[in-house]
Amino acid sequence: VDGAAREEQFASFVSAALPKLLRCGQVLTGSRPAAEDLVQTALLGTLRAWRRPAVIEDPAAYTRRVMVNSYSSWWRRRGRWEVTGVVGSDYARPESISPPADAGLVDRDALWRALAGLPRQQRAVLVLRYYEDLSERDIAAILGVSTGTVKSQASRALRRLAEVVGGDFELPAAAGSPFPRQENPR
Amino acid sequence: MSDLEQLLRDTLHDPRFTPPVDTDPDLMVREVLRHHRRRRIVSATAVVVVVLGVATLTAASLTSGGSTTRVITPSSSGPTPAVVLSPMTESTVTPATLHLSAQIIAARLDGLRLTDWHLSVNGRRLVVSLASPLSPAQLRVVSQRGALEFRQICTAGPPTVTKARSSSDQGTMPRTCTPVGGKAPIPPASVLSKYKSLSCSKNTIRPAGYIDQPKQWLAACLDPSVNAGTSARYLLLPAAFTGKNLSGASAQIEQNNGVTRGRWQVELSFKPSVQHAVYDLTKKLQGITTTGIAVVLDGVVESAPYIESAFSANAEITGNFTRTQAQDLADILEHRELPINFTAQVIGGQT
Repeated sequence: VDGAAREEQFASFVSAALPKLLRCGQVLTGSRPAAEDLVQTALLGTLRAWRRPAVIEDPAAYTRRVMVNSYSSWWRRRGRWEVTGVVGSDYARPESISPPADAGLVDRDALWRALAGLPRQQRAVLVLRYYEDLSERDIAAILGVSTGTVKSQASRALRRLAEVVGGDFELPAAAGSPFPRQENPR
Repeated sequence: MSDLEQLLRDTLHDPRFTPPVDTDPDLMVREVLRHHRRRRIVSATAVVVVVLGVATLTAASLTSGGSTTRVITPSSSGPTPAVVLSPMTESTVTPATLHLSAQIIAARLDGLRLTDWHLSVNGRRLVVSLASPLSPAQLRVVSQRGALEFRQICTAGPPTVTKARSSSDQGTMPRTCTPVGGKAPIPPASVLSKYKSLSCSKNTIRPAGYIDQPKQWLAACLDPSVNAGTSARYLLLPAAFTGKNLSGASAQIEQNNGVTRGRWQVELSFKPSVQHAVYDLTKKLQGITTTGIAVVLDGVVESAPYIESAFSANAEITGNFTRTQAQDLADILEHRELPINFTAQVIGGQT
């Protein structure tokens, strides 16, 4: 009986939230087709949990949580697809559409590429912390790990990025961060 | 906050790295609902699928270095089967339509349940590389435009036999349609003469380079492969409804009061916005054997069902469908029409 009503609610939620979810997916995965796949998988999870309080309260937040978890754990469709050729301005690399005067872009581009080399869980931690601006405790709750793991993953990821981007970046102060025990990233 | 953290924050928020994606929310919702329904059925096999998926990905990530030109380059160990889809006309080709086409074709490939495939957009072409060659029917599922139309039938009959195409034969042709309450519509001369010359032989059933024009009249042949080998031609009015008016399609086993004869059909649901119009039309045509509705896919009549009673929300396309035929047709309808007409070129492997 309420199956149709649920599908209707779900459809209106998706049309409102889709652009933001896709943006978040792109930040996580670094690519547009992968973002679409990820959002689709996460929405499937949201639909199945539609009546849970967490979903009713904020379906977008719930979906983002599923996205982060699907991304940082293992997940795939049977086939895959990607955009490889340059189709139009739509797919142009950032450097080709911006004036060369933008010096900051060179660093950002290098960093963006370096993000692709990080393990998934580390990238997920960085996105939650610096894109979603969540606290370490919230990040830990979302990923289902301890706050210590969040801290260690973040500092390891930042160190790696600093190496790739060029050594002249100051790392965040390590106040209170040495951990007695290092947990293995998956 | 350190310089690096600031740079990272700026980078992640820089819209130039995450250009807006114009994915159609409706398409996304449909895909999710389809997977939702399917998963309930196949949950027992989910583990196998996951394991296969992992193996597939590992193999794929080893072989593809990001560029797809290698896909169409035959290697010494034999060419990888691939299908190259090139736009037939350039007029509708934009990054957005190419992207939408890739989405729809990816969904169709998923629907075919192939174990491994890889689709890439390369310039203006779409390249599908596969583990094994596609059958002709599968190739059609992948590359067909998928333009569905519901058209009222003006007149129908057996196709012209080439020898008998004489003036006496043409004399029997109607100049107006069979009237169905009210005045009879008059077909334009060009379509009428096309109808008169239709032979519907094996090679002419599917018009080459067909571009659908739902607002025009149409002369078309019946698809014998899903109609028990019957050959027929139809003169059809402009489309009453198209695939855009559908909200879903699925393959079902045909049931008559709980009795099944093992035949398959395709079930369609119409969007609420057109249900009134569907009811009005089917009410008008119910019980009429000669001039019902034809279901036309890419210029071929798939089915010309007898309308027993008026309907509004759901309709079935019946025919002598095998399970695969019904599923293929449902898959094409479910995933909408491609925004571009493609010609398919098969590379590697035999068809």
